[in-house]
Amino acid sequence: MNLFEYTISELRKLLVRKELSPTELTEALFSRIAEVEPKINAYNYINHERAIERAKTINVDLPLGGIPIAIKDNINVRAEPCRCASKILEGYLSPYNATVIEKLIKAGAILVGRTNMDEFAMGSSTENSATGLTKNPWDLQRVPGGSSGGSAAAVASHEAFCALGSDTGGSIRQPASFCGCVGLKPTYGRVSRYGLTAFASSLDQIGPLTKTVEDAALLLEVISGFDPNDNTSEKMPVPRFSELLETLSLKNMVLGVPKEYFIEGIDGEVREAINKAIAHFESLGAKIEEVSLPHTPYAVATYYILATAEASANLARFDGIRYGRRSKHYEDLLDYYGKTRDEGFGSEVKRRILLGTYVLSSGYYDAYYLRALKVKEKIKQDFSSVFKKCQALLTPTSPFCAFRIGEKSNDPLQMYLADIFTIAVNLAGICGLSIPCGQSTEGLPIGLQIIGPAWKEEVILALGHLYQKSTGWKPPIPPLEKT
Amino acid sequence: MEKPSIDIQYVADLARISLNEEEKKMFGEQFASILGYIEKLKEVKIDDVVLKGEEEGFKNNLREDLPQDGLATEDVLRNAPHHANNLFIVPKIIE
Repeated sequence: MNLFEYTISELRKLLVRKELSPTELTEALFSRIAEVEPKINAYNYINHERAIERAKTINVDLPLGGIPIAIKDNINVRAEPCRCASKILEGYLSPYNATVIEKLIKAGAILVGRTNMDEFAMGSSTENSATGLTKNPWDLQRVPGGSSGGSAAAVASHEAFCALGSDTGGSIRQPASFCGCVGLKPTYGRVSRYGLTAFASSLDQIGPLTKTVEDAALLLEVISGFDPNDNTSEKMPVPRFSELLETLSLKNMVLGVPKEYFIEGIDGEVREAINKAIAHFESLGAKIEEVSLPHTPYAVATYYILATAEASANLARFDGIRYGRRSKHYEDLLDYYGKTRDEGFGSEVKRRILLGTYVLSSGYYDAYYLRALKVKEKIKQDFSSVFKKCQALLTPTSPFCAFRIGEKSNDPLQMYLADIFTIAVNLAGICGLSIPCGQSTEGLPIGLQIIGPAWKEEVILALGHLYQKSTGWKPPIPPLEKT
Repeated sequence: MEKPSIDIQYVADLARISLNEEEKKMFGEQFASILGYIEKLKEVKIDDVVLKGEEEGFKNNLREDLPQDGLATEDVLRNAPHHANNLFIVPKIIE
Protein backbone atom coordinates (compact mmCIF):
# COMPACT_ATOMS: atom_id res chain seq x y z
CA MET A 1 0.00 0.00 0.00
CA ASN A 2 1.29 3.47 -0.92
CA LEU A 3 1.71 5.99 1.87
CA PHE A 4 -0.70 8.43 0.21
CA GLU A 5 -3.53 5.91 0.51
CA TYR A 6 -3.55 5.94 4.32
CA THR A 7 -6.20 7.59 6.47
CA ILE A 8 -5.39 10.05 9.27
CA SER A 9 -6.14 7.50 11.98
CA GLU A 10 -3.79 4.95 10.38
CA LEU A 11 -1.07 7.58 9.94
CA ARG A 12 -1.43 8.76 13.55
CA LYS A 13 -0.47 5.26 14.79
CA LEU A 14 2.59 5.10 12.53
CA LEU A 15 3.72 8.60 13.53
CA VAL A 16 3.31 8.06 17.27
CA ARG A 17 5.20 4.75 17.10
CA LYS A 18 7.95 6.60 15.14
CA GLU A 19 7.61 4.13 12.28
CA LEU A 20 7.10 7.13 10.04
CA SER A 21 8.44 10.68 10.31
CA PRO A 22 6.31 13.74 9.52
CA THR A 23 8.90 14.76 6.91
CA GLU A 24 8.70 11.40 5.09
CA LEU A 25 4.94 11.60 5.19
CA THR A 26 4.80 15.18 3.89
CA GLU A 27 7.29 14.40 1.10
CA ALA A 28 5.26 11.33 0.10
CA LEU A 29 2.19 13.53 -0.18
CA PHE A 30 4.02 16.10 -2.29
CA SER A 31 5.15 13.33 -4.67
CA ARG A 32 1.53 12.28 -5.04
CA ILE A 33 0.52 15.91 -5.63
CA ALA A 34 3.18 16.26 -8.33
CA GLU A 35 1.84 13.14 -10.05
CA VAL A 36 -1.89 13.87 -9.84
CA GLU A 37 -2.24 17.64 -9.78
CA PRO A 38 -1.66 18.21 -13.53
CA LYS A 39 -4.78 16.12 -14.18
CA ILE A 40 -7.01 17.38 -11.35
CA ASN A 41 -6.02 20.99 -10.57
CA ALA A 42 -7.36 20.79 -7.02
CA TYR A 43 -4.91 23.29 -5.53
CA ASN A 44 -4.62 27.05 -6.09
CA TYR A 45 -1.48 27.36 -4.04
CA ILE A 46 1.04 24.92 -2.59
CA ASN A 47 3.66 25.76 0.02
CA HIS A 48 6.12 22.88 -0.12
CA GLU A 49 8.96 24.61 1.68
CA ARG A 50 6.89 25.91 4.58
CA ALA A 51 5.26 22.50 5.07
CA ILE A 52 8.57 20.65 5.15
CA GLU A 53 10.08 23.21 7.55
CA ARG A 54 7.19 22.62 9.92
CA ALA A 55 7.27 18.83 9.51
CA LYS A 56 10.87 18.77 10.72
CA THR A 57 10.03 20.16 14.16
CA ILE A 58 6.48 18.98 14.79
CA ASN A 59 5.53 17.13 17.99
CA VAL A 60 3.83 13.93 16.82
CA ASP A 61 2.09 13.42 20.16
CA LEU A 62 -0.30 16.30 19.45
CA PRO A 63 -3.83 15.29 18.31
CA LEU A 64 -2.98 15.90 14.63
CA GLY A 65 0.80 15.94 15.07
CA GLY A 66 2.43 15.59 11.65
CA ILE A 67 -0.77 15.26 9.62
CA PRO A 68 -0.76 17.29 6.37
CA ILE A 69 -4.01 19.12 5.59
CA ALA A 70 -5.32 21.17 2.64
CA ILE A 71 -7.32 24.35 3.25
CA LYS A 72 -10.05 25.84 1.08
CA ASP A 73 -9.02 29.12 -0.53
CA ASN A 74 -11.52 31.19 1.50
CA ILE A 75 -10.03 30.52 4.96
CA ASN A 76 -7.31 32.94 6.08
CA VAL A 77 -3.83 31.58 6.80
CA ARG A 78 -1.30 34.21 7.85
CA ALA A 79 1.15 35.23 5.08
CA GLU A 80 -0.55 32.99 2.51
CA PRO A 81 -2.86 33.97 -0.33
CA CYS A 82 -6.59 33.76 0.42
CA ARG A 83 -7.87 34.39 -3.02
CA CYS A 84 -11.36 32.89 -2.79
CA ALA A 85 -10.71 31.88 -6.43
CA SER A 86 -11.43 35.49 -7.38
CA LYS A 87 -9.64 37.97 -9.59
CA ILE A 88 -10.49 40.73 -7.11
CA LEU A 89 -8.23 39.15 -4.45
CA GLU A 90 -5.27 38.65 -6.75
CA GLY A 91 -2.05 39.14 -4.80
CA TYR A 92 -3.77 39.32 -1.41
CA LEU A 93 -1.81 37.89 1.55
CA SER A 94 -3.68 37.21 4.80
CA PRO A 95 -2.54 39.34 7.71
CA TYR A 96 -3.93 36.84 10.25
CA ASN A 97 -4.99 33.23 10.91
CA ALA A 98 -8.61 32.10 11.01
CA THR A 99 -9.56 30.53 14.36
CA VAL A 100 -9.74 27.06 12.76
CA ILE A 101 -6.19 27.55 11.48
CA GLU A 102 -4.95 28.54 14.96
CA LYS A 103 -6.58 25.36 16.27
CA LEU A 104 -5.06 23.16 13.54
CA ILE A 105 -1.60 24.61 14.15
CA LYS A 106 -1.94 24.05 17.90
CA ALA A 107 -3.01 20.46 17.19
CA GLY A 108 0.15 19.85 15.13
CA ALA A 109 -1.32 19.75 11.61
CA ILE A 110 0.87 20.68 8.63
CA LEU A 111 -0.73 23.07 6.13
CA VAL A 112 0.19 22.08 2.58
CA GLY A 113 -1.82 24.44 0.41
CA ARG A 114 -5.05 26.09 -0.66
CA THR A 115 -7.75 24.25 -2.57
CA ASN A 116 -9.75 25.53 -5.52
CA MET A 117 -13.39 26.51 -5.20
CA ASP A 118 -16.17 28.41 -6.90
CA GLU A 119 -15.43 32.13 -6.57
CA PHE A 120 -16.40 33.27 -3.06
CA ALA A 121 -17.97 29.80 -2.55
CA MET A 122 -20.77 30.63 -4.99
CA GLY A 123 -21.45 27.60 -7.14
CA SER A 124 -21.93 23.86 -7.24
CA SER A 125 -19.27 22.78 -9.72
CA THR A 126 -15.98 24.67 -9.11
CA GLU A 127 -16.33 25.96 -12.67
CA ASN A 128 -16.64 29.58 -11.42
CA SER A 129 -12.99 29.87 -10.46
CA ALA A 130 -10.59 32.58 -11.61
CA THR A 131 -7.79 30.02 -11.37
CA GLY A 132 -9.27 27.44 -13.73
CA LEU A 133 -11.54 24.48 -13.12
CA THR A 134 -10.94 21.38 -11.02
CA LYS A 135 -11.73 17.97 -12.52
CA ASN A 136 -13.50 15.01 -11.00
CA PRO A 137 -10.98 12.22 -10.27
CA TRP A 138 -13.55 9.60 -11.35
CA ASP A 139 -14.01 11.14 -14.79
CA LEU A 140 -11.87 14.06 -15.90
CA GLN A 141 -14.68 15.32 -18.15
CA ARG A 142 -16.92 15.91 -15.15
CA VAL A 143 -17.08 18.51 -12.38
CA PRO A 144 -16.02 17.69 -8.80
CA GLY A 145 -19.06 19.52 -7.43
CA GLY A 146 -18.76 22.69 -5.44
CA SER A 147 -18.07 25.01 -4.02
CA SER A 148 -15.41 23.02 -2.06
CA GLY A 149 -14.61 21.05 -5.23
CA GLY A 150 -10.84 21.40 -4.82
CA SER A 151 -10.94 20.02 -1.27
CA ALA A 152 -13.14 17.06 -2.29
CA ALA A 153 -11.14 16.23 -5.43
CA ALA A 154 -7.85 16.48 -3.49
CA VAL A 155 -9.03 14.07 -0.78
CA ALA A 156 -10.66 11.64 -3.24
CA SER A 157 -7.58 11.48 -5.48
CA HIS A 158 -5.32 11.09 -2.41
CA GLU A 159 -3.45 14.33 -2.98
CA ALA A 160 -4.63 15.35 0.50
CA PHE A 161 -5.26 13.18 3.54
CA CYS A 162 -7.90 15.62 4.68
CA ALA A 163 -9.10 19.12 3.93
CA LEU A 164 -11.23 21.92 5.28
CA GLY A 165 -14.14 23.23 3.25
CA SER A 166 -17.03 25.57 3.89
CA ASP A 167 -20.72 24.79 3.44
CA THR A 168 -23.38 27.48 2.95
CA GLY A 169 -25.93 25.42 0.99
CA GLY A 170 -24.18 22.09 0.45
CA SER A 171 -20.67 23.18 -0.53
CA ILE A 172 -18.97 20.45 1.54
CA ARG A 173 -21.49 17.61 1.20
CA GLN A 174 -22.29 17.87 -2.52
CA PRO A 175 -18.65 17.78 -3.74
CA ALA A 176 -17.92 15.00 -1.22
CA SER A 177 -20.78 13.07 -2.82
CA PHE A 178 -19.58 13.78 -6.39
CA CYS A 179 -15.97 12.79 -5.62
CA GLY A 180 -16.65 9.83 -3.32
CA CYS A 181 -15.25 11.10 -0.02
CA VAL A 182 -16.70 12.05 3.37
CA GLY A 183 -17.94 15.60 4.04
CA LEU A 184 -19.47 17.06 7.19
CA LYS A 185 -21.43 20.29 7.64
CA PRO A 186 -21.46 20.91 11.40
CA THR A 187 -24.30 22.56 13.32
CA TYR A 188 -24.39 26.34 12.82
CA GLY A 189 -22.28 27.83 15.63
CA ARG A 190 -20.22 24.66 16.25
CA VAL A 191 -17.13 25.94 14.42
CA SER A 192 -15.88 29.52 14.51
CA ARG A 193 -16.24 31.47 11.27
CA TYR A 194 -13.59 34.02 12.26
CA GLY A 195 -11.25 34.24 9.29
CA LEU A 196 -13.61 32.53 6.85
CA THR A 197 -14.39 34.98 4.06
CA ALA A 198 -18.10 35.54 4.60
CA PHE A 199 -20.59 34.61 1.89
CA ALA A 200 -23.90 34.25 3.81
CA SER A 201 -23.01 34.71 7.47
CA SER A 202 -26.16 33.12 8.89
CA LEU A 203 -25.58 29.90 6.90
CA ASP A 204 -21.79 29.48 6.48
CA GLN A 205 -20.01 26.74 8.43
CA ILE A 206 -16.49 25.34 8.09
CA GLY A 207 -16.22 21.55 8.11
CA PRO A 208 -13.95 18.59 7.28
CA LEU A 209 -13.59 16.57 4.06
CA THR A 210 -11.88 13.24 4.71
CA LYS A 211 -11.43 9.66 3.47
CA THR A 212 -13.35 8.10 6.36
CA VAL A 213 -15.97 9.12 8.92
CA GLU A 214 -13.48 8.31 11.67
CA ASP A 215 -11.14 10.97 10.26
CA ALA A 216 -13.98 13.50 10.03
CA ALA A 217 -14.65 12.97 13.75
CA LEU A 218 -10.99 13.54 14.59
CA LEU A 219 -10.86 16.76 12.61
CA LEU A 220 -14.18 18.09 13.93
CA GLU A 221 -12.97 17.57 17.48
CA VAL A 222 -9.99 19.85 16.78
CA ILE A 223 -11.76 22.69 14.95
CA SER A 224 -14.93 22.99 17.09
CA GLY A 225 -15.67 25.26 20.01
CA PHE A 226 -16.78 28.71 21.11
CA ASP A 227 -14.67 31.63 19.91
CA PRO A 228 -15.04 35.16 21.31
CA ASN A 229 -14.06 36.43 17.84
CA ASP A 230 -17.22 34.95 16.31
CA ASN A 231 -20.31 36.01 18.21
CA THR A 232 -22.43 33.45 16.39
CA SER A 233 -20.31 30.55 17.67
CA GLU A 234 -22.01 28.87 20.64
CA LYS A 235 -20.78 28.07 24.12
CA MET A 236 -21.55 24.37 23.72
CA PRO A 237 -19.34 21.59 25.08
CA VAL A 238 -17.36 19.79 22.37
CA PRO A 239 -17.81 16.01 22.71
CA ARG A 240 -14.87 13.69 21.98
CA PHE A 241 -16.45 12.73 18.67
CA SER A 242 -13.75 10.18 17.79
CA GLU A 243 -14.27 8.30 21.05
CA LEU A 244 -18.05 8.21 20.66
CA LEU A 245 -18.01 6.51 17.26
CA GLU A 246 -18.37 2.99 18.61
CA THR A 247 -20.86 3.73 21.39
CA LEU A 248 -24.01 3.92 19.30
CA SER A 249 -26.62 1.19 19.51
CA LEU A 250 -29.11 0.85 16.66
CA LYS A 251 -31.53 -0.87 19.00
CA ASN A 252 -34.44 1.52 19.63
CA MET A 253 -33.07 3.84 16.99
CA VAL A 254 -35.53 5.29 14.48
CA LEU A 255 -34.12 6.62 11.21
CA GLY A 256 -36.43 8.82 9.17
CA VAL A 257 -36.70 8.77 5.40
CA PRO A 258 -38.28 12.06 4.24
CA LYS A 259 -40.58 11.35 1.31
CA GLU A 260 -39.95 14.79 -0.25
CA TYR A 261 -36.35 13.72 -0.95
CA PHE A 262 -37.43 10.91 -3.26
CA ILE A 263 -39.02 13.07 -5.91
CA GLU A 264 -39.37 12.55 -9.62
CA GLY A 265 -36.24 13.63 -11.42
CA ILE A 266 -33.89 11.88 -9.03
CA ASP A 267 -31.54 9.60 -10.92
CA GLY A 268 -32.60 5.92 -10.88
CA GLU A 269 -29.19 4.62 -9.85
CA VAL A 270 -28.96 7.19 -7.04
CA ARG A 271 -32.37 6.13 -5.77
CA GLU A 272 -31.37 2.48 -5.88
CA ALA A 273 -28.09 3.05 -4.01
CA ILE A 274 -29.83 5.09 -1.29
CA ASN A 275 -32.55 2.47 -0.85
CA LYS A 276 -29.84 -0.16 -0.50
CA ALA A 277 -28.09 1.91 2.18
CA ILE A 278 -31.39 2.38 4.03
CA ALA A 279 -32.00 -1.38 3.90
CA HIS A 280 -28.51 -1.92 5.24
CA PHE A 281 -29.25 0.19 8.33
CA GLU A 282 -32.49 -1.74 8.76
CA SER A 283 -30.61 -5.04 8.60
CA LEU A 284 -28.30 -3.76 11.33
CA GLY A 285 -31.29 -3.24 13.63
CA ALA A 286 -32.50 0.33 13.04
CA LYS A 287 -36.19 1.04 12.64
CA ILE A 288 -36.88 2.89 9.38
CA GLU A 289 -39.83 5.25 9.23
CA GLU A 290 -41.13 7.39 6.39
CA VAL A 291 -41.47 11.01 7.51
CA SER A 292 -42.53 14.25 5.87
CA LEU A 293 -40.73 17.61 5.64
CA PRO A 294 -43.52 19.43 3.81
CA HIS A 295 -41.63 22.68 3.15
CA THR A 296 -38.72 20.98 1.35
CA PRO A 297 -39.85 22.22 -2.11
CA TYR A 298 -39.37 25.83 -0.92
CA ALA A 299 -35.80 25.45 0.37
CA VAL A 300 -33.93 26.45 -2.81
CA ALA A 301 -36.05 29.58 -3.37
CA THR A 302 -35.68 30.60 0.29
CA TYR A 303 -31.95 30.07 0.11
CA TYR A 304 -31.46 32.16 -3.03
CA ILE A 305 -33.12 35.11 -1.34
CA LEU A 306 -31.39 34.90 2.04
CA ALA A 307 -27.94 33.87 0.81
CA THR A 308 -27.80 36.47 -1.97
CA ALA A 309 -29.10 39.21 0.34
CA GLU A 310 -26.34 38.48 2.84
CA ALA A 311 -23.76 38.14 0.06
CA SER A 312 -24.67 41.56 -1.36
CA ALA A 313 -23.83 43.10 2.02
CA ASN A 314 -20.78 40.93 2.78
CA LEU A 315 -19.16 41.51 -0.61
CA ALA A 316 -19.59 45.28 -0.41
CA ARG A 317 -16.18 45.32 1.30
CA PHE A 318 -14.42 44.36 -1.94
CA ASP A 319 -13.81 47.83 -3.35
CA GLY A 320 -10.08 47.78 -4.06
CA ILE A 321 -9.32 50.45 -1.44
CA ARG A 322 -7.79 48.57 1.48
CA TYR A 323 -6.92 45.38 -0.38
CA GLY A 324 -7.53 43.57 -3.61
CA ARG A 325 -7.45 44.55 -7.24
CA ARG A 326 -8.20 48.13 -8.26
CA SER A 327 -9.40 49.28 -11.67
CA LYS A 328 -6.85 51.45 -13.41
CA HIS A 329 -9.13 53.48 -15.65
CA TYR A 330 -11.99 55.45 -14.15
CA GLU A 331 -13.59 58.88 -14.33
CA ASP A 332 -14.90 59.54 -10.84
CA LEU A 333 -15.46 57.73 -7.54
CA LEU A 334 -18.64 55.89 -8.54
CA ASP A 335 -17.08 54.88 -11.83
CA TYR A 336 -14.06 53.64 -9.87
CA TYR A 337 -16.20 51.40 -7.64
CA GLY A 338 -18.30 50.13 -10.54
CA LYS A 339 -15.32 49.27 -12.73
CA THR A 340 -13.25 47.77 -9.92
CA ARG A 341 -16.11 45.43 -9.03
CA ASP A 342 -17.10 44.68 -12.63
CA GLU A 343 -13.54 43.74 -13.54
CA GLY A 344 -12.81 41.89 -10.30
CA PHE A 345 -15.89 39.70 -9.88
CA GLY A 346 -16.91 36.79 -12.09
CA SER A 347 -20.43 36.39 -13.53
CA GLU A 348 -21.92 34.20 -10.80
CA VAL A 349 -20.72 36.53 -8.04
CA LYS A 350 -22.15 39.55 -9.86
CA ARG A 351 -25.41 37.69 -10.43
CA ARG A 352 -25.77 36.94 -6.72
CA ILE A 353 -24.77 40.43 -5.56
CA LEU A 354 -27.32 41.93 -7.97
CA LEU A 355 -30.04 39.49 -6.94
CA GLY A 356 -29.33 40.14 -3.26
CA THR A 357 -29.33 43.89 -3.81
CA TYR A 358 -32.67 43.59 -5.59
CA VAL A 359 -34.43 41.53 -2.90
CA LEU A 360 -33.27 44.01 -0.25
CA SER A 361 -34.13 47.12 -2.25
CA SER A 362 -36.86 49.51 -1.25
CA GLY A 363 -40.32 48.10 -1.90
CA TYR A 364 -39.18 44.47 -2.21
CA TYR A 365 -37.86 43.73 1.28
CA ASP A 366 -41.14 42.41 2.72
CA ALA A 367 -42.11 40.48 -0.39
CA TYR A 368 -38.80 38.67 -0.66
CA TYR A 369 -36.46 38.89 2.31
CA LEU A 370 -38.98 38.94 5.17
CA ARG A 371 -41.10 36.25 3.52
CA ALA A 372 -38.01 34.06 3.02
CA LEU A 373 -37.06 34.45 6.69
CA LYS A 374 -40.51 33.19 7.64
CA VAL A 375 -40.39 30.23 5.25
CA LYS A 376 -36.97 29.43 6.72
CA GLU A 377 -38.70 29.21 10.11
CA LYS A 378 -41.23 26.75 8.62
CA ILE A 379 -38.40 24.60 7.28
CA LYS A 380 -36.79 24.64 10.71
CA GLN A 381 -40.08 23.59 12.34
CA ASP A 382 -40.41 20.68 9.87
CA PHE A 383 -37.09 19.30 11.12
CA SER A 384 -37.89 19.89 14.81
CA SER A 385 -41.10 17.94 14.48
CA VAL A 386 -39.54 14.90 12.70
CA PHE A 387 -36.65 14.84 15.17
CA LYS A 388 -39.19 14.21 17.92
CA LYS A 389 -39.72 10.72 16.54
CA CYS A 390 -36.42 9.87 14.88
CA GLN A 391 -32.75 10.38 15.73
CA ALA A 392 -31.48 11.02 12.20
CA LEU A 393 -32.64 11.20 8.58
CA LEU A 394 -31.33 9.33 5.54
CA THR A 395 -31.48 11.02 2.11
CA PRO A 396 -29.49 11.28 -1.11
CA THR A 397 -26.88 14.08 -0.94
CA SER A 398 -27.57 15.02 -4.55
CA PRO A 399 -30.32 13.95 -6.97
CA PHE A 400 -27.67 12.94 -9.53
CA CYS A 401 -24.01 11.98 -9.88
CA ALA A 402 -21.29 14.39 -11.05
CA PHE A 403 -22.40 16.18 -14.21
CA ARG A 404 -20.28 17.06 -17.22
CA ILE A 405 -18.13 20.19 -17.35
CA GLY A 406 -20.20 22.92 -19.01
CA GLU A 407 -23.46 20.99 -18.72
CA LYS A 408 -25.15 23.44 -16.34
CA SER A 409 -22.93 26.49 -16.52
CA ASN A 410 -25.22 28.47 -18.82
CA ASP A 411 -28.36 27.94 -16.78
CA PRO A 412 -27.97 29.30 -13.24
CA LEU A 413 -31.34 28.01 -12.07
CA GLN A 414 -30.47 24.41 -13.07
CA MET A 415 -27.16 24.81 -11.23
CA TYR A 416 -28.98 26.07 -8.11
CA LEU A 417 -31.22 22.99 -8.18
CA ALA A 418 -28.12 20.76 -7.80
CA ASP A 419 -28.24 21.68 -4.10
CA ILE A 420 -31.88 20.76 -3.62
CA PHE A 421 -31.17 18.12 -0.92
CA THR A 422 -28.48 19.94 1.03
CA ILE A 423 -29.81 23.50 1.36
CA ALA A 424 -32.52 22.86 3.97
CA VAL A 425 -29.90 21.63 6.46
CA ASN A 426 -28.16 25.03 6.35
CA LEU A 427 -31.45 26.91 6.60
CA ALA A 428 -32.39 24.88 9.69
CA GLY A 429 -28.91 25.32 11.22
CA ILE A 430 -28.59 21.56 11.83
CA CYS A 431 -25.81 19.10 10.88
CA GLY A 432 -25.38 16.82 7.86
CA LEU A 433 -22.85 14.23 6.72
CA SER A 434 -22.28 12.85 3.22
CA ILE A 435 -20.69 9.42 2.85
CA PRO A 436 -20.07 7.32 -0.26
CA CYS A 437 -22.69 4.57 -0.66
CA GLY A 438 -22.11 3.11 -4.10
CA GLN A 439 -21.31 3.88 -7.71
CA SER A 440 -23.26 4.37 -10.90
CA THR A 441 -22.72 2.01 -13.85
CA GLU A 442 -20.44 4.74 -15.26
CA GLY A 443 -18.30 4.40 -12.13
CA LEU A 444 -19.37 7.70 -10.56
CA PRO A 445 -19.69 7.93 -6.75
CA ILE A 446 -23.10 8.27 -5.07
CA GLY A 447 -23.45 9.99 -1.69
CA LEU A 448 -25.75 9.19 1.22
CA GLN A 449 -26.67 12.16 3.40
CA ILE A 450 -27.22 11.55 7.11
CA ILE A 451 -28.95 14.54 8.70
CA GLY A 452 -28.97 15.05 12.47
CA PRO A 453 -30.52 17.53 14.89
CA ALA A 454 -28.53 20.54 16.07
CA TRP A 455 -25.51 19.61 18.27
CA LYS A 456 -25.87 15.87 17.52
CA GLU A 457 -22.84 15.39 15.25
CA GLU A 458 -21.86 12.40 17.39
CA VAL A 459 -25.01 10.59 16.22
CA ILE A 460 -24.56 11.13 12.49
CA LEU A 461 -20.82 10.41 12.75
CA ALA A 462 -21.48 7.16 14.63
CA LEU A 463 -24.07 6.14 12.02
CA GLY A 464 -21.68 6.93 9.18
CA HIS A 465 -18.86 5.07 10.91
CA LEU A 466 -21.08 2.05 11.50
CA TYR A 467 -22.00 2.03 7.81
CA GLN A 468 -18.37 2.20 6.71
CA LYS A 469 -17.25 -0.45 9.21
CA SER A 470 -20.04 -2.89 8.42
CA THR A 471 -19.60 -2.53 4.66
CA GLY A 472 -15.79 -2.81 4.86
CA TRP A 473 -15.18 0.67 3.37
CA LYS A 474 -11.70 1.29 2.02
CA PRO A 475 -11.03 4.68 0.37
CA PRO A 476 -10.68 3.70 -3.32
CA ILE A 477 -8.14 5.02 -5.79
CA PRO A 478 -9.99 6.73 -8.65
CA PRO A 479 -8.87 6.12 -12.26
CA LEU A 480 -8.01 9.81 -13.02
CA GLU A 481 -9.04 9.28 -16.62
CA LYS A 482 -11.61 10.46 -19.11
CA THR A 483 -14.32 7.85 -19.47
CA MET B 1 -48.12 33.78 -13.52
CA GLU B 2 -47.06 37.39 -13.91
CA LYS B 3 -43.40 37.69 -14.89
CA PRO B 4 -41.50 39.86 -12.39
CA SER B 5 -39.63 42.71 -14.02
CA ILE B 6 -36.38 44.11 -12.74
CA ASP B 7 -34.63 47.38 -13.50
CA ILE B 8 -31.10 46.04 -13.94
CA GLN B 9 -29.46 49.46 -14.28
CA TYR B 10 -31.00 50.65 -11.00
CA VAL B 11 -29.90 47.51 -9.12
CA ALA B 12 -26.40 47.60 -10.65
CA ASP B 13 -26.02 51.24 -9.52
CA LEU B 14 -27.07 50.29 -5.98
CA ALA B 15 -24.59 47.38 -5.99
CA ARG B 16 -21.80 49.57 -7.45
CA ILE B 17 -21.14 47.23 -10.35
CA SER B 18 -20.77 48.69 -13.86
CA LEU B 19 -22.40 46.37 -16.37
CA ASN B 20 -22.05 46.45 -20.15
CA GLU B 21 -25.09 46.07 -22.42
CA GLU B 22 -24.43 42.39 -22.99
CA GLU B 23 -24.28 41.67 -19.25
CA LYS B 24 -27.44 43.68 -18.63
CA LYS B 25 -29.31 41.61 -21.20
CA MET B 26 -27.96 38.29 -19.88
CA PHE B 27 -28.66 39.06 -16.21
CA GLY B 28 -32.10 40.44 -17.11
CA GLU B 29 -33.12 37.17 -18.75
CA GLN B 30 -31.64 35.04 -15.98
CA PHE B 31 -33.31 37.08 -13.25
CA ALA B 32 -36.69 36.67 -14.92
CA SER B 33 -36.27 32.90 -14.67
CA ILE B 34 -34.84 32.92 -11.13
CA LEU B 35 -37.43 35.36 -9.78
CA GLY B 36 -40.14 33.36 -11.53
CA TYR B 37 -38.97 30.31 -9.60
CA ILE B 38 -38.83 32.26 -6.32
CA GLU B 39 -42.49 33.27 -6.78
CA LYS B 40 -43.42 29.82 -5.44
CA LEU B 41 -42.76 31.08 -1.90
CA LYS B 42 -46.11 32.89 -2.15
CA GLU B 43 -47.80 29.50 -1.78
CA VAL B 44 -46.53 29.15 1.81
CA LYS B 45 -48.83 30.26 4.62
CA ILE B 46 -46.63 32.40 6.86
CA ASP B 47 -49.15 34.43 8.91
CA ASP B 48 -48.54 32.27 11.98
CA VAL B 49 -44.76 32.76 11.98
CA VAL B 50 -43.35 35.21 14.50
CA LEU B 51 -39.65 35.74 13.96
CA LYS B 52 -37.24 35.91 16.84
CA GLY B 53 -36.83 39.55 17.76
CA GLU B 54 -39.88 40.68 15.79
CA GLU B 55 -41.90 41.34 18.94
CA GLU B 56 -39.49 41.65 21.85
CA GLY B 57 -36.60 43.17 19.86
CA PHE B 58 -33.06 41.92 19.42
CA LYS B 59 -30.38 41.73 22.05
CA ASN B 60 -26.78 42.17 21.00
CA ASN B 61 -24.40 39.33 21.69
CA LEU B 62 -21.29 41.22 22.76
CA ARG B 63 -17.98 39.98 24.03
CA GLU B 64 -16.28 41.55 27.05
CA ASP B 65 -14.91 44.97 26.24
CA LEU B 66 -11.24 44.27 26.79
CA PRO B 67 -8.41 45.82 24.80
CA GLN B 68 -6.75 43.44 22.35
CA ASP B 69 -3.85 43.72 19.95
CA GLY B 70 -4.87 44.65 16.44
CA LEU B 71 -3.18 43.66 13.20
CA ALA B 72 0.28 45.03 12.49
CA THR B 73 0.08 48.15 10.26
CA GLU B 74 2.73 46.72 7.97
CA ASP B 75 0.72 43.50 7.43
CA VAL B 76 -2.44 45.41 6.66
CA LEU B 77 -0.90 47.95 4.27
CA ARG B 78 0.93 45.22 2.35
CA ASN B 79 -2.40 44.41 0.67
CA ALA B 80 -3.39 47.96 -0.23
CA PRO B 81 -3.19 48.80 -3.95
CA HIS B 82 -1.96 52.30 -3.04
CA HIS B 83 -0.64 53.53 0.27
CA ALA B 84 1.77 56.13 1.64
CA ASN B 85 2.79 57.38 5.10
CA ASN B 86 0.89 54.50 6.75
CA LEU B 87 -2.34 55.65 5.06
CA PHE B 88 -4.52 54.20 2.30
CA ILE B 89 -4.54 56.33 -0.84
CA VAL B 90 -8.10 56.63 -2.14
CA PRO B 91 -9.45 58.02 -5.41
CA LYS B 92 -10.10 61.77 -5.41
CA ILE B 93 -13.52 62.50 -3.93
CA ILE B 94 -13.65 66.33 -3.89
CA GLU B 95 -12.83 68.36 -6.98
